[in-house]
Amino acid sequence: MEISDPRDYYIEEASELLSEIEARIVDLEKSPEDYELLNTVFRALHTIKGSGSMFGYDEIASFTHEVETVFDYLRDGKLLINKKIIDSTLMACDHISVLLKNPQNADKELQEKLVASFRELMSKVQEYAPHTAEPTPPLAEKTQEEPRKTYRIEFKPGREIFLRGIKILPLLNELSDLGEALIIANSDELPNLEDLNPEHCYTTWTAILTTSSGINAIKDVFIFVEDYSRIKIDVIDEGDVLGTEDDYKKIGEILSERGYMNVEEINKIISKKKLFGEMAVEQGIVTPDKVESALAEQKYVREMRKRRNEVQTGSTIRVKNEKLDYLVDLVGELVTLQARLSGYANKDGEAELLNISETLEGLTSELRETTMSIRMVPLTETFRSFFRLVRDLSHELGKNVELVTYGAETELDKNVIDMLKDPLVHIIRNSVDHGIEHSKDRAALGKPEKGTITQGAAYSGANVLIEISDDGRVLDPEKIRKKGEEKGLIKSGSEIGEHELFNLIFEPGFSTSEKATGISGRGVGMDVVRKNIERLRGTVEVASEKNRGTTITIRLPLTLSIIDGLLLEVGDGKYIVNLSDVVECFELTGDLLGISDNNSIANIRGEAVPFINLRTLFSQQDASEGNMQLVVVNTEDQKTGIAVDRVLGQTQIVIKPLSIAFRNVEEVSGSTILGDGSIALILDVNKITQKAREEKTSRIAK
Amino acid sequence: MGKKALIVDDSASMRQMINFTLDEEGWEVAEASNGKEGLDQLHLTHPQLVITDIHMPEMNGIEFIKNVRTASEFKFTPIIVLTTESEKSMQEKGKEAGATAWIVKPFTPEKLKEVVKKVCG
Repeated sequence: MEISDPRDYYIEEASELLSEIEARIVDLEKSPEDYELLNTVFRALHTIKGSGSMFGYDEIASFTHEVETVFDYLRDGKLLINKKIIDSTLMACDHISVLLKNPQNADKELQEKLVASFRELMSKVQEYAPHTAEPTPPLAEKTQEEPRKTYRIEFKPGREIFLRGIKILPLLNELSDLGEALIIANSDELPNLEDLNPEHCYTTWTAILTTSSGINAIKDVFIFVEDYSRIKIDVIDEGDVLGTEDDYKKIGEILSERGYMNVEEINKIISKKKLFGEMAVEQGIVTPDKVESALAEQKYVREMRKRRNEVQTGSTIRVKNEKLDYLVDLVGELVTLQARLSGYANKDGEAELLNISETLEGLTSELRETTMSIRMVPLTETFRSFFRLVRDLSHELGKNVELVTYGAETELDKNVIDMLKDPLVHIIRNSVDHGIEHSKDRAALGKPEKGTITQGAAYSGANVLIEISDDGRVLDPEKIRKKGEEKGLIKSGSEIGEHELFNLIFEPGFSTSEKATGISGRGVGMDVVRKNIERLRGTVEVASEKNRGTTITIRLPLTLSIIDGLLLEVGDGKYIVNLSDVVECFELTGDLLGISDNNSIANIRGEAVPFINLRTLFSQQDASEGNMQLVVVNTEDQKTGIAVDRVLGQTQIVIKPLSIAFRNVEEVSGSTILGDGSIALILDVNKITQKAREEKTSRIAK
Repeated sequence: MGKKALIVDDSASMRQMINFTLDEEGWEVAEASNGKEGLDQLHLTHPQLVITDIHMPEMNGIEFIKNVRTASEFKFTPIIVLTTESEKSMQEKGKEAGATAWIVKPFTPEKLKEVVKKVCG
């Protein structure tokens, strides 16, 4: 912009005008009566003043104003030109020139003397009032925030308003932009076609506007049209103070307030006991349009009040967290007891007892779901709090980052959300800190200058998927491999896929440099993130791809404590898998094992499904009697089989933490107490799937 | 798309500042330094917005506005007139002549944008 700073333009222009003034003044000495000459000088002074004030030359503007006023009077013949005026004007020109080019050299005394002499000249003119340096009105008056009120604005433009170049639509849009608005056009006054002048405006508008901008902001909308229009602004709802009820004025009241009808006419209609609006039209007091408009106002305010009251009194109640936790515990106890009852009833076989047991099972299940749903809260709050985090962090690091959100309405157990917050903060911090590059680096890479981090959530079966992705730097597989080998996490030269390689960043000990150097990579603290997520029975994974950025995916179970499970038996041990993970069950016959030479891949309708034998996994020595059963589970769109002795059936279970003795068994994520008082282990389907896949690859490799 | 504005002002620095501001808002801008030139440009460029100063040689702003309004093509064209704080009467004269809106000097580019939005949408 430096080549065309308007200030440079102004200096050049003012200098030209000054020399023009000087030339004209000399001419004026010869022909003092020449109006055009006077006018030219006046205009030149006017421009120096006007543009001077625009570009910050306030001193020039106020000084030139004095000279300009003299020439205004001269032009109008209220003063006569003389030698003194000519001399003073020439001196003034010199002074303005100094103010323009070297303001620090300006002679203040001379300026005051000149101003005094011009004022003296003007004091002889009757109407003269010295120009006091009034403060310029604030240029952009910010509208004050006021209490939220609802206004009725009646806008009746003059017939010929269009002929002034005034457009109605921008005005109505501006009005709507002030808040929440309902705008009703009224075409009552539209004449018959033969009388209609298409250049005239016959429509009037009524706007019902809820805003906190205040009445001045509303008046401001109409500033250029107020002279040619009738504008009436009334407050019809004071926000919180009045009108706390849902109800609003009767239609007759609105019509009379607007001046469409008087009290007498109202009473006459009320006595008829019919719909007021209808009657008013029937009796020819008001037009249907006017009634429509009043009805719209009534509906608007009633609905607004209803909404407001709903927010205020609310249809929700707050409950202490502990009470909810206790409720969940009790439901858990009930679920266990119910399982015991149904076990007993099945054994006993008495019809009435079975009936009671089944009904109770249904009720318990419903009670459980309702209790769980009470604890579900949307991720909105959590996601929202990250906007501030990203903003502050990116400011601090001098980066330009935008945070985009989707699926914030996805709900999770309150306890899960609480425990999830720290890991998420960590991941987002990493993204801003190590993922997103500085704007100039991004520009060099041909990326948009603004980096984007996306946080999102979605349901996926009985799980919730949370994704944090960024379009910043991607993970470097070579570096990770090197580091992994250095730390002894992988064998040097071992063949390992990119996916597994990337996920090394979650291994404890992968990156430990955070505090020591302050320069850390993406992996910093990710082991802690994984540990926290696994405590929630969730999993976390990273994917990174050039051009697509890096995505961290967290998979969490919907609830923490009670699930529908499928009870399995291996030897004398009982196991549970989450029913929502189960796709189907088979008898593991020879046909299914057709394509497998070592009993680890089943052929299910032509699809090769790797499976794990729980007997082998949990080192049960003795072989099972008869055929084993194959439970097919589905995780991350991959099917895996779990071979067990027997599938016992479906049951509701309460998840209990594992005792320390089992903490090292990766394939087990929890335990539960069954109805008969015995214990079952809950299988971590994800871990088992992973294991089966690993075995499959290693076998293929062999 | 293809919004055209005409600026009529004898001050080149004012024209430049307004031109810049409107250009930012996507206007194509024509300039004239007095009312007479303004009328020539008007019929040449067919603008959807006219911004005019008042004191100009050859033909002043008030005469210019009257002339614009008598041309049937520009009956409904928004005209913004530039006035100064010390000349309230000019605002009235401008309105009488058919001006749509006015801006008092000194003004900021933001104020100009605001008024343009008000009259043109």
